[in-house]
Amino acid sequence: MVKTWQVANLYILTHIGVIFFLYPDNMIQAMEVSHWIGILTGFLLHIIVVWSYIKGLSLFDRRNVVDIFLDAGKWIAFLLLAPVFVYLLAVIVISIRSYGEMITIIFLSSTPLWATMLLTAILAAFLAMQGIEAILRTGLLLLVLCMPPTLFVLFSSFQHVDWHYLLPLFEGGAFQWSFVYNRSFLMGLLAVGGSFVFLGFVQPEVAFNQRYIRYASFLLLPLYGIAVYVPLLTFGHSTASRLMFPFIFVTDIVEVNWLMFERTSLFFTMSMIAFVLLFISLMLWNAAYLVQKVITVRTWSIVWAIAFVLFVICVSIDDWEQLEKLIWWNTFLRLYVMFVIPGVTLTLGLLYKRKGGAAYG
Amino acid sequence: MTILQALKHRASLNADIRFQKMTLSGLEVELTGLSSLIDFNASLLHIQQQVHQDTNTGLPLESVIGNLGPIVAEPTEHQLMSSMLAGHLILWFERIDAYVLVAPVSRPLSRTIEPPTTENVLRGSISAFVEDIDTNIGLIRKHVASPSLHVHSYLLGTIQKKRIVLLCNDNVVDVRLRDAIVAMLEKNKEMNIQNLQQLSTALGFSKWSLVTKFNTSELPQEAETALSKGKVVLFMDRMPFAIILPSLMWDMFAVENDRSFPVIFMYAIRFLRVFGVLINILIPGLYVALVSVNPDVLRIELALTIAKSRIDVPYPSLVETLLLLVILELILEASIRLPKSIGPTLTMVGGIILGQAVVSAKLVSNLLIIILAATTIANSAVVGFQNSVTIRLFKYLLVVLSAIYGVMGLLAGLFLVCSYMAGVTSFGIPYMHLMKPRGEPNG
Repeated sequence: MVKTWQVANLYILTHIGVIFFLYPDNMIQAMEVSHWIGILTGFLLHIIVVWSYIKGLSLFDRRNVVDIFLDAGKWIAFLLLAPVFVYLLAVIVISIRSYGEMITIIFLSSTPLWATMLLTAILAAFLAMQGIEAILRTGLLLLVLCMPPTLFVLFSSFQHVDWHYLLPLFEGGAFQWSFVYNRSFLMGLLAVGGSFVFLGFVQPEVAFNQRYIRYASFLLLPLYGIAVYVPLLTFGHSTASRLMFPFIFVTDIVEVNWLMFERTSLFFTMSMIAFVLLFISLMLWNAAYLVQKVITVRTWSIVWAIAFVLFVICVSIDDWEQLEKLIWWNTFLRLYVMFVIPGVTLTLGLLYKRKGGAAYG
Repeated sequence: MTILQALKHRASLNADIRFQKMTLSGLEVELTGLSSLIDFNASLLHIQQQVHQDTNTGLPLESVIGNLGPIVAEPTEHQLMSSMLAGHLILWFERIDAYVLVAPVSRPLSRTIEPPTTENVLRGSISAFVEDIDTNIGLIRKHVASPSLHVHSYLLGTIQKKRIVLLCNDNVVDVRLRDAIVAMLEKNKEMNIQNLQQLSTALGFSKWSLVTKFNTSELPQEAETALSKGKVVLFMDRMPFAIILPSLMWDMFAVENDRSFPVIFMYAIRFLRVFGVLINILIPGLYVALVSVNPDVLRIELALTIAKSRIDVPYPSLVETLLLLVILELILEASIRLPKSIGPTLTMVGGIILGQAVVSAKLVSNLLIIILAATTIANSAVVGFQNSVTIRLFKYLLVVLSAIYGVMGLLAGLFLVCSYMAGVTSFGIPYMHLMKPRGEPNG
């Protein structure tokens, strides 16, 4: 069934979920001034990657990447997709662990971390086992429930902004693009290339019109901008770079007199966590889908099995430094997923098209 | 022993089986039927008149008998008994040993059409369905005067036959849905169906579903809308409501009667219902979360007020909330059971408990009273009692999760509810689907 809107919605929501936590910190660490160049670079990378990916997909008639790769050969598909599988698992571990940490900091200072992570894992697995269509529909419900508070906070976060911090716009060093080798920048790619892979997995059960996904990707640019620039404009670079979750901190100090709650960050983080849960369950479903292509098992059993193993891994990560190490290792896998998978898809698509043309010509 | 004698033997067990001998144009005839279902005197008169007329026009005897009703080809005791139970009058012509089933004048055993008793209508047709299945179909026919409205009848069950009628508008109906329902009904012909739970089993739904799979309505108007949206309407004999399939989430918020108001009010009313559901699900959990786990997220003045109202309350907020919620549920349940004349007593007693007394006794905080009152009121804003039960249940999930995880638990509960609802489908149609008159799939 054609569900373009649902797919576009899921694509946006999962990105929002990951943009506002680690990404601002990473970008602020990566560059001293002219962050917009970094943001724009990241965004352009995103556009290139996603557009070539969906272009490649659209050349085939409603098929998913796994089937496309399988056509090229069993072992080629295995070699191409095995890193994707590892990448998905790592992303899930990173998300569960880092958001668990964040929930502990913001809401539950006395609850043990494992309990929070257990909750996250259970929620994500519960949704993932119901399949992609349930995930898409949950996305719609969450859009209705969580988008109003999110937008409200996004607008109110400009309360303490000092536009002078925007300057200097052009600092010599930025245009040498030396920051792209910066570790923080590369880690920040989680928000750039985090969740788009799912677009290749949903077909043929769920079809979408690629044009609207392309439109939707433009909505991400202002979000990347707000995530990085609002903390910068509020605190200035030197203060903002000391904060662990700069954007959350900004929403913490926003003052709204008529609200019965002390901090607007409450609504914001809750909405973000909902989006992240969506993101995690999507990744979990992706991983389960890959496993199902190798061995035939029921979805629910494989989802719960993966969730359990990953939960154990999450618990065994001792502290934030280990997690950062994991994020860094995973960056290489992410670069692979961002460039090789869309590249191969597009190449295969073009080859397929040419062959098809020759056959009919 | 003739079959009639066997039936007579049965009559000793059933006082309402009646036998009567009479002569019809010179033929000895014996009539049998259930006097509890049939108005004998009127029926006899009717038969005599018809036979008299037919003989006068000079018809042969076979035609006269044939005009009375179908002749039972191979009569058995069991067959005649079930025809009798179905309300037929049986004529036995002694000379030719033939049994004829006559449609008699039946006793009026159904209510007349009245206003609905469980749903209220402000501006709209107020006649409601009754127990008699044919009256109900008639009501629908009055509302939908369309040749594309089709009525299919099924008899289910072995011991007790139950008539189930399926209605759909063939121009717009979701064909897959209709065929799936028909297939399930055909497959489970042997199943005895007396209630909606058994019907749900017959249609192949899971026993453990938390959301209702049937939307029910007493109003022909609602059934009409459902038909025009491509849904399927079922009637069960002696059930005074239409069973609408599939039941969708939006049915919780919208009734056709909303369209009697200007569009803006319609949206406002529906928004209010959505808001009511959210309040109902969230607020008790929010109270527990804010009091016991996350008082820090509240403004300090408000946090202090809440804390002040809870001074002297001896137990944790979870116990406090559950205690009062259970009392509220009991009041709701009891007021359904009680006869109307004693009902006010319950309201009064409940009012005393939930009023000042429980607060003065320092058993619960007065903020909680306000919250629970709001919850109960909000609970009733939902369309359809079957939907409000679902929401009542979800509320407890959120309360428990909030007690463990605070506001995070509240979010977790909401997420669980959302993902559960998103996963529910019936006959391949997702619960969140919006059915439009033209059958455009979306949502």
